[in-house]
Order: sequence, then C-alpha cells, then structure tokens
Amino acid sequence: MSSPAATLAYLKAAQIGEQGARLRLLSFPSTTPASLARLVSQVCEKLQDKILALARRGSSPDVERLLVFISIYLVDQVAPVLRFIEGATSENTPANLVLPLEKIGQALLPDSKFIVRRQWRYNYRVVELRETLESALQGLLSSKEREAIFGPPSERLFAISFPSFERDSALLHVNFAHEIGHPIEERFLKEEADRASLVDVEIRRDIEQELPRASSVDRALKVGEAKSYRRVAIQEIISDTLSAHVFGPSCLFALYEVGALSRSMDVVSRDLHPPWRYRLRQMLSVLEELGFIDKEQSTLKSWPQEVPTNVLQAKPKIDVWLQDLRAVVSQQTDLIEIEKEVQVRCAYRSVQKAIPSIRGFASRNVTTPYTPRLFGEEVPGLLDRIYMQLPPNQIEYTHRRVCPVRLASILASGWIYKIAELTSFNKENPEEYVTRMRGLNRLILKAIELSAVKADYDLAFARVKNGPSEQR
Amino acid sequence: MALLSSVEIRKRLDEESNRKLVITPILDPDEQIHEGSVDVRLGTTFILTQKTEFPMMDPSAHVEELKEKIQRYQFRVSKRFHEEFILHPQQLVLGSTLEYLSFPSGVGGYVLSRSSWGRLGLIIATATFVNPGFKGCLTLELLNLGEVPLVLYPGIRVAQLVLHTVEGEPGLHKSRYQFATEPEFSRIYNDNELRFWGKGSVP
Repeated sequence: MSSPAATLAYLKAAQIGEQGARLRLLSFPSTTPASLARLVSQVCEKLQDKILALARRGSSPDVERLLVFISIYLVDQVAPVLRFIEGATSENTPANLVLPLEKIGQALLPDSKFIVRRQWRYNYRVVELRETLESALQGLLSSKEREAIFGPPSERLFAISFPSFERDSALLHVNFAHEIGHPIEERFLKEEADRASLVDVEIRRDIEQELPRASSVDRALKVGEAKSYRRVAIQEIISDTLSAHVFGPSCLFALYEVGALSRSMDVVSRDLHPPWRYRLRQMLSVLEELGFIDKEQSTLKSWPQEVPTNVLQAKPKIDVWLQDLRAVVSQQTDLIEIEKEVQVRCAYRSVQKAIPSIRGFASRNVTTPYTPRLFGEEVPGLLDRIYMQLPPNQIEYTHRRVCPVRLASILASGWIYKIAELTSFNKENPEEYVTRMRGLNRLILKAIELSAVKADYDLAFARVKNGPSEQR
Repeated sequence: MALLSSVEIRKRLDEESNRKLVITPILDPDEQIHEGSVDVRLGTTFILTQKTEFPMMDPSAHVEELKEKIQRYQFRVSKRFHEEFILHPQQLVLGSTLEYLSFPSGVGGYVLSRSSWGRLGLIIATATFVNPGFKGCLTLELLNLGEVPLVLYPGIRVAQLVLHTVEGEPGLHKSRYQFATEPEFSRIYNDNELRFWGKGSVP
C-alpha cells in the first residue's frame, strides 16, 4: 500500500494530465497552446513516474515531504497553467491577429513562443510560463530530463492576456506590443546592472541631500522605495518605447484610451506604472523623435497631399486630437504628484536621466521598425478603403498597388478612422455607434487575415514557381 | 443584362472609382479569373449545427424565442490555413468566402459550385443570387451530397462567381447580411410575413 501523500500526489498528477490532454484537442489559432497542453501532460506523466518511484522506495519523513511538495507544485504551479490554454482557443481570441502577433514577438525575442489568451480582469499583461513550470522541478528532475520536456534552456514561453470582452477590439490590441516589450526590458535592466551601483549611488546621494537630518535607517528605507518606483517606471517606459517602434502612432491612441479608464491621470504607483499623463507625455515625445508627429505643430507628419477627399479631410481631425492631447500632457499635475514625496521625486529624477539610454536601447532592439515613411505610403490608401467600407488589406491607386501591407499600417488606418469618424455616439441613435464600431473592428480583423494570407501565398507560390526551375 | 467577360471583369476590378468592383484579395488572378466568372476561396470560419440543443426549426415562432433558439442551435468553428475541415455525407454547414466583395450598383452575380467539386458531391450554395450593391463576405451553404466525407481546407477554390450587368436605374440596396466578414446564420426571424403564414396565427 502506498502512503496517503503518494496516493494524493499521483491522483493530482493524473487529473491535471488528463485536463491537459483534453484541452489539447480544442481549436486554436496557432500551434503554441496545444504544445503547452502537451507540455503540461508530459510534466504530469514524468511526475507520476517520480511519485511511483518514491512510493516504491518506502515511507520516510523525507519522502513524505517530497510527495507533499509535488502535490503542492501540481496544484499551485501546473494546474493554473491550464487556464492559459483554455483562454487561447480560436473562439476566445481575435484569431486573425494571433499569428501576426506571434511573429512580431518572435522577431523581437527569437527563441520565444507566445500564447494569446483572454482573461476576465480588465488589463493586458504578460506572464512567463516556462520558468513557472520548470523552476520548481529543479530538485525533482535532472537537467537532462527537464530539457527533454521543455526544450533548450534558451526557449521561453509567454502568455499575453487581454480583457475578455475586448476580444474583437482589434485596435486596442496594439497593447500587445507593449506586453511583448516587457520580457525585452530585462535586457535593458541587465545592461544597466553593470552600472547599477552608479544608479544606487546617485539615488542615495539624492536622498541624502533631500533628507540631511534623517537617520541612516530611514534613508535606507527611502532609497529602497525610490529604487522600486524607478524600476517600475523604467519597465513601463521601455515597453511603451519599444511598442512605438513596432506600431507607431497607434500606441499613443491606444494608451490614451486605456488611460482614460483610470480614476486619475496623475496617480503614481510603486507597483503598477507611472502616472498616465507621464506615460502619454513620454509616448508623444518618442513619436515626435521618430518623426511621426510634428513637435511644433502637434500634427501628423508624412501625410501626402494627393489623396481622396475624405482621407484628406481626416487629417485635420487627427491633428485636433493631437493638439487636445498636447493640452493634456502640458498640464503638470502628475509632476506635482511626483514632487510630493522625496523617494518618488528622487526615483523620477533618475528615470528622466535614463530616458536617452532607454530610447537608444529601443532603437537597437527593434531591427525592422515601423517608420513614418511606411506610415505615409500605406495608411492614407488603407484609410480610403475603410471609408469605402472595405477591409484595409491592400492599396489600389493606379500609380501604386500594394498587397500585403504592414500590420502596423492596418491598425493605424483603423485608429485614424475611429478618431476622425467615431469619437462619440449620437444621443438619438446610440446603437448605431456600437454597430459602426463593430463593423470597423470586423474590417480590421478581416484585413489582417487577408494581408497575412496574401503574404504567405506569395511566398509559397514563389517557392512552387522556383521549384521546377531549380531542378532544371 | 449581360455576362461579364474576363476582360470586362479585369477592367472593372482595375477601375479607379468608388463604384468599382472589388473582390479582395485575388491571390492568383490567372488561376481565378475565367471567361465569365471568378473563382472564390473558402474562408476560415464555419457554423455548424448542434442538433441535440434544438428539437425543430419553426421559422414562424416568436422573434425573441426564435433568435435564442437559433443561437443555441449553432456553434462556430475556426480553422487555420492548412488545417482540415471534414464535411460528412449529408452534412450542411455554413462557411464563407475568404474574399471580401463589393458590388457596384450596376453589377449582380450568382454563386455556383465549381464543377470539379460538384462531381465529388459538394454543393456550395442554394441561395445563389448576389444583389447589386452587396458588400461583405458571402455565406456559403456547404452540403456534401456524396457518399464519402470530403476534406476541405480554408483557402481552396470552392465556388465561382458569375457576374453580370444590371439594367435600369439602381434602387437602394438593402440586405440582412451586409458587411459580413464571416458566415452569418439565418435571420429568417426578420421575415415578418412568416408570422402571418405560421400556424400560430390561424383564427
């Protein structure tokens, strides 16, 4: 007879493994969720073998402790991963967008895989799954056994979550680029670690100057807090900056929309992010620096003059929006909040000093950035298609035919249409607004699908065409 | 009313105006545009029926009741490109064209099965007329009348659009299924007249 701990652990492993095997059969927009389901089943099978081996060894306090540890690991670490798989089905995700987003993620982090899944909380976030699953197994399985399950150590697996009811809100999903940025920011913090002592010294000196009469304990506490504030702010600003390189102005539009849902634009959080107003100011400044927005006029740059009338008329509406945003970020209320407490003040002084290196880091890490030139070449033509109630998947001017187009351009055309034409609902007929937004999202998602399939088809067809000639 | 030739189809697809004919994307014009027709491809989403949820379909039932029943009766399945979709003998599913269409007011059309598929038993549409002014992806009614299950893949050329001109002044186009990007289930409940003809209104 096996011990109760062994029986319990074995049962949990079997149950979780079965769930993984069942989930693997669902329909997903990419192969990654099914691979994760397989991984969960493999971990459980391996642990079942381990539990049996321990049970055969006979009961001892050490063995019992290990069996209890396995049960806890299964319940706390492995089972929760199943919800990522369940949320990643085609039905639960904006399926057309998943593969293009995975490709962007893999371009930025070549050894990584991504899962896109819904969650009920209203935010976007990224979670590393491999480490979660693998770290606790270090004492149980050899590195060879772990590698057989998880692949080479360099391979990482991230789950990006989005708010469930925003599934079809294609435009808002530019926030994915921000989330993909989070794992990359680790590189910046690692690079910075080499001169971490310098940052520490700088913050310590700053706090000492601010609080000359405080005890060393109080000062040390303030330094610790300042470092936390700094770290969180740096992480968010790096991800924002990286996303601006990937998707251009759409990131500003999306950031504003998400920020508008917060209770205050000025709250400083040690655990979450800098004030929204601060982030918007930074994002605007990055887009100016990249050449998407004119700094003096607060207007969109790279907008050709020879475009259809409605496209020409959309431009001033975007410029008004940008000027309104300029007014929002010109208010200094967030900076007043930051100035209120010494540790926050010192942290943000240090953040401000790091901005040039953050921007340099982002430029180095996005090897094929979205540029104002591409924006100017593609977005007006795509916007014209939306005005004609067509998916913005290709450009069809006489002098210029482009298909496929860039994902960033499709999203930007959608945002510009939304800001130009769908800013508010008609009080007499509010339902019409919802219908039009639904229609816009559908066109955008369809365009993403069509542009991607065109790219794949052209590539495959070129290969077919080239095949026989190579043989000849 | 005249059938559009391949030259005329290409001309109208290339036109520079808001009233142009749009079939997007045409992945391979040489393969898809024929004399009098354009081949269209299968989309990625399908609507299947959940027979155990619904005893029978009486389209004259109360609108709200019917709407709910129809919701319960159907479920959507998405397939990736290169992933198979198996259509069993006698099974009816709704699919859609991969292509998004926009017909100007002077052009109408018919969706027909491609004969190569028809010979295998695949029927792709029963409501075949496409109105002038239509915009969206066309819903296809896929029915396997053959003896063996058929393996379909999103992206394959399953149907052909036969296009023709429309004579006279165009009226305002109204459709229940305008701007669809996926298959749409029946909205028969919007047919008010059915309430009169149904058994519920027998005096």
